[in-house]
Amino acid sequence: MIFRNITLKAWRNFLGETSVGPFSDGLNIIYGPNGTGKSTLFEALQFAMLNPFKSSGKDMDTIQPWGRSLTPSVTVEFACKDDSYQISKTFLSGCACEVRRFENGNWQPYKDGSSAHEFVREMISKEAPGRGLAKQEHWGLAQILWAPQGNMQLPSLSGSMVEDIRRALGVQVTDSSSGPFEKRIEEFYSQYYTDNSKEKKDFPLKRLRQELAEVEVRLAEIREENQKLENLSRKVEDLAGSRRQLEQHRKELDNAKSIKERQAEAYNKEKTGYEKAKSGKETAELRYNNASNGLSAVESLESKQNELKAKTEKNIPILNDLEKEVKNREKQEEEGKERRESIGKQLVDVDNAMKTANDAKEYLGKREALERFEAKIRAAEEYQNKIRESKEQLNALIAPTPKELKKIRKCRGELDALTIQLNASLIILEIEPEIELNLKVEAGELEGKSSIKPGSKALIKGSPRIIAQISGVGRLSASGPAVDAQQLREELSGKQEEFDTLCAPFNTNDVNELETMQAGRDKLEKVTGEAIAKLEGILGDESLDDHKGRALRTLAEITQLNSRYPAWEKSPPDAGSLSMAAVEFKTKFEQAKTDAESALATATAALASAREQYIALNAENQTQLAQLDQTGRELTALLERKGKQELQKEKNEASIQWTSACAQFDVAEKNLAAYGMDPEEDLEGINRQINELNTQLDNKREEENITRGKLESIAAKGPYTLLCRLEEQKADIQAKITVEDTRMKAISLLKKTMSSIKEAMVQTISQPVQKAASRTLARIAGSGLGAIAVSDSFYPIGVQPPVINHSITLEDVSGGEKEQVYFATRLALAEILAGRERQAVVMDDVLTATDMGRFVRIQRILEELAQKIQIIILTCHKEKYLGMKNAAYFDLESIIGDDART
Amino acid sequence: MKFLHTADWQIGMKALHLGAAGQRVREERLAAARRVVALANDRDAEFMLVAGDTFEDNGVERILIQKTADILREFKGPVYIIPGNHDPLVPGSVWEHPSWASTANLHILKEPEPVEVPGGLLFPCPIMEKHSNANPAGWINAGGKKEICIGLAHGTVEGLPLDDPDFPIPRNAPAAGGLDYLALGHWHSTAPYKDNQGKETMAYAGTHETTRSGERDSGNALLVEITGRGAAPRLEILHTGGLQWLPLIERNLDNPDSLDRVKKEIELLEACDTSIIQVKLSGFLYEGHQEKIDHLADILKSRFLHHQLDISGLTPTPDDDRWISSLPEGVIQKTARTLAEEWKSGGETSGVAREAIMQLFRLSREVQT
Repeated sequence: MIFRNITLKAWRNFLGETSVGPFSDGLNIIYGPNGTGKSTLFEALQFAMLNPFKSSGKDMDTIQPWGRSLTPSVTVEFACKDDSYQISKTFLSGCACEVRRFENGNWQPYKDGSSAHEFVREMISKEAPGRGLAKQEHWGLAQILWAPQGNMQLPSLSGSMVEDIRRALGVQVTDSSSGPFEKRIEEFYSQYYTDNSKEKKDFPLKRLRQELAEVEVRLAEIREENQKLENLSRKVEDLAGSRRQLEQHRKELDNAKSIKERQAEAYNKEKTGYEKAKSGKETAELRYNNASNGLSAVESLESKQNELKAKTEKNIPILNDLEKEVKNREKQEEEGKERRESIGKQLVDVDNAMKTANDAKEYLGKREALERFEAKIRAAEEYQNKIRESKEQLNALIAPTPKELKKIRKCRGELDALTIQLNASLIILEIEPEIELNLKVEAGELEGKSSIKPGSKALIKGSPRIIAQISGVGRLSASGPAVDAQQLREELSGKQEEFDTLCAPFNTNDVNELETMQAGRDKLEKVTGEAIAKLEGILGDESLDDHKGRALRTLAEITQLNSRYPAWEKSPPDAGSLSMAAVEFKTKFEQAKTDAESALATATAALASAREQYIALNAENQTQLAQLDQTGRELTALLERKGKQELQKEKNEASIQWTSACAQFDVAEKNLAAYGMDPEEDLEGINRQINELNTQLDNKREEENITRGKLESIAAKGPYTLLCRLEEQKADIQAKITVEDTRMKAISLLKKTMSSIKEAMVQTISQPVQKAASRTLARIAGSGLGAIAVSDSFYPIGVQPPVINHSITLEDVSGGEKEQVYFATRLALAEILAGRERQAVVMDDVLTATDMGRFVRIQRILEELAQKIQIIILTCHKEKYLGMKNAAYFDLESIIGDDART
Repeated sequence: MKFLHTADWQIGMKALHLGAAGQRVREERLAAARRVVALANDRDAEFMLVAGDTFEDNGVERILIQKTADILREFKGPVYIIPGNHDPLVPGSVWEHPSWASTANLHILKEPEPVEVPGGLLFPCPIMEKHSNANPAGWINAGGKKEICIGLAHGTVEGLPLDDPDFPIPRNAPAAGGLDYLALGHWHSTAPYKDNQGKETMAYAGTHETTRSGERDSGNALLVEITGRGAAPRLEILHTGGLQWLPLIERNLDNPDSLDRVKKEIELLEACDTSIIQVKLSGFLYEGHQEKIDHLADILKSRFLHHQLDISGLTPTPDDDRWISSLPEGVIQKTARTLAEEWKSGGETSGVAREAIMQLFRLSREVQT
């Protein structure tokens, strides 16, 4: 559809009839300043082609010229497919609609009223909503082709529009009948899955699985219960088996007990006989023993009596011999004692000889010691004299000590150094004249006048300068380093004074002389030191008086020994010979003493032995005599009642009785031994076993009863029946799960398959739009923005700049770029729609945010597009569109003229 | 001598995959037991023999023991019962329940020793454990007896298909033990065994109430009559079962009319609330079949005690994709075709794809109506 002309009357600011056109098939620019009615023109076009003519209300009232009750009307002439039409609509009070078709060179009425309105509206939009026609989403084709004032943004395209575009692209995704299917599938899917394709929390399968899990838990419990039932059954069986074994064992023990009891009875009988025989035997034995003992006692006493008599008789001669022996031994002991005493008296002589020998040795020793003392005292006295003389010499000697000398030397050195420094600080002028000169020293050490003869020298010194006036020659002046010579002189004078003071005690200040004096002092001190060392070596730690005292004491001791041994004073004793003689004498004495004591000891021992033997034998003899006497009395007493023959007879009779009792006992013992152990003991053991067994049996029975109780308690619940019911329940749930699981998977597969197919198809159909729009955008804005991403309903949703990997939304691009994206998309869609029929694009003052550079490119694009599409641009910026190729320009202001305007 | 031989009541039996009908199946076993006792009374049996497995397990709820004892008490003569491998004579077993001792005509035979019964001697072989490789009737030696001698045992007659011996009983057990008749339990189908002379001297009475679908010759008891020592026993099968476990109806739908035939077949079955039916359909789901299947499910539900309708083997026919063509063009149609291809690929997700097609198929019906 393209437009040829538009005429409006009594429409807002258009009072009179105003017609704009005829429009070219290509580019049309309608321009005029603000307020001339460009947007009113756009509005009138919309009302003519889309809005119902019977509309009323506030919105409708606004289209009336202000303050006038006129009837707004619009007529649009357009071409669709191969026909030309004219639609005229009158609104408000004169509402009417008429469509005329150009036939045979004239406009012929074609349709009127609502059918005329529907006829035209359906050319643009298939949808006819009852309300809200003014909204863009109900504009149909015009949603894409018409851009209202300043708004290039595309509205959401209606379903039929999208389908129209798809059809134009030759792709069938769904038709109108698909909707309910998709909706139903979505509904079906949403029963089980969330929007995120997750299984819903309350979906049936989950509930079934939950039920199954619960049943399985209960089943596990019941199976465990059944298993417990079986286990307890086995345990009861085992316990019963054990109990039966124990009962059998006790039965056997009862039998054994019965047998043993019978054995015990017989045994006891035998045992009684045995005890009786034993008692008879013991009685007979006792009687025999008594008889035997009585006879034995008589015989024993007789024997003892005889024996004692023999012994006493034998002892008498022996006792006599022993008495003689004792006397001999007593005599021998006496002789030994006398000899020992005789030898003992020689001990004084031995001691004297030994003392003389020792004294002689001591005497000689003391004399030698006295001589040593005297020699030492003499030497000491000699050294004492030497020391005293040396010290006297030293005291008389005047010489510096090494310390004093060192100090003098140091002072001398410093004095010399100061002298050198002083000399160095002076300016020295030496004058050696050839003729006599008169010299006047004006500045220097020796100021004043003097004369200098030829051949002599004059030395002028001074500091810091010297000035000398030489008559006939001139005035000489010399200056030198700025050293304070005066200070040096003062220091030199002080040092000289110190030096003199140090040397004064020695009457010389010649250092060499002083050194010689000091060497003499050293030598004398050395001699004194050596003498003192010698003296100390002789005396040690003691004094000379100590030595002298000791010599006097030794002399006194020698004198004492001389008084004891006067001969020794003239002739000193031979200490060795005296000592040897004394030792020999002593040795002989001790040997004799030892021999005498040994002989005495032997005699004493022999005497003691003899005495002991005598006493012992005598005592034994006395005892035997006493025993003999006692035995005689006992024998008399024994034989007092029965004689020996009678006793013998009694013994013989008792012997016969005892032998008989022994025989009877042997028989009884043999009979008893035949039983082995005492059956009573066995019986006791059996009873213990029975008691133990009874305890075990009681325990076993109790355990069996307890276990049986548990068993019956579980059996009473009928666990198998519960198991059956649960397994049946489980089987039913599992069957439902299988069905439900397959159903869910099927629903999921159905939905996913549908979605993926749809996605693939949408991708296929949106690509041409995307491609064309992206190409246009690139021409306008360059490749920086990249491709335009278009939704399945052909709505631009973003751009994909090549520098980044993802798309960005249109919210993130500039206003101008956003406008250009919408422009490019609209043109792409229009181009596609124009594939079937030329279409008109109407733009009311759009692209206001686009800069001139890009606008120029847009112009080129519009020029190209105008070859396929009719383009009507309403603008207040005429200058922007000037010079466009093949463009038809309409000056709205001049068209309207004064008459048509309010 | 005339007695009723029954076995394998398995009171308290598990009934898996029967849903709410499981309880009914258990109750029917007690009802069948009442019928056994009633028949024994009606046919003037002198005594009853119960050859083991009276109960499914020793852990069944105790009220069932009482109920069973009450039922048996209604028999006018003595009842001789041996424990079987399901309810062996062990501590805590059902046989310790006081209801047995309180009823004079009930005799739980706990020892393998001859017992006098009306008209002869009974050699019982009680089972004391769940598994054994020993012949339970091996101890019987009635060769020298003059009175009619019968045995009561629970085990597997040699020759029956088993991997491991399970209380094996030789085929010649009656002859070897000198018995006129050996009443057996353990196997659920009624089965008499003839000796060399053609006399039916040994038989399984079979369970008195069928336990599962496909169980042959079950739901019976045997009335046995022996006129004298060495005489051939006369066996009469008495039907005692109450439930009908109908054979599995497994059909392949290979043309659009197949489902109608299946429906007709089911409608022709004698329906009652004692029948349990299983229907398994495979093949293709043709146009309009979904509604028919729903209808078929309604029929099964209303006419039978319990039904199982397995249609997991059904898929929309690959040759007839008219229903796909009827779907909206574009995404929906393409989705249907993609799923169909996945299903036909037979891959890992083929089963889920089949179900997804079924879902879409149902949706298409729902939306289009």
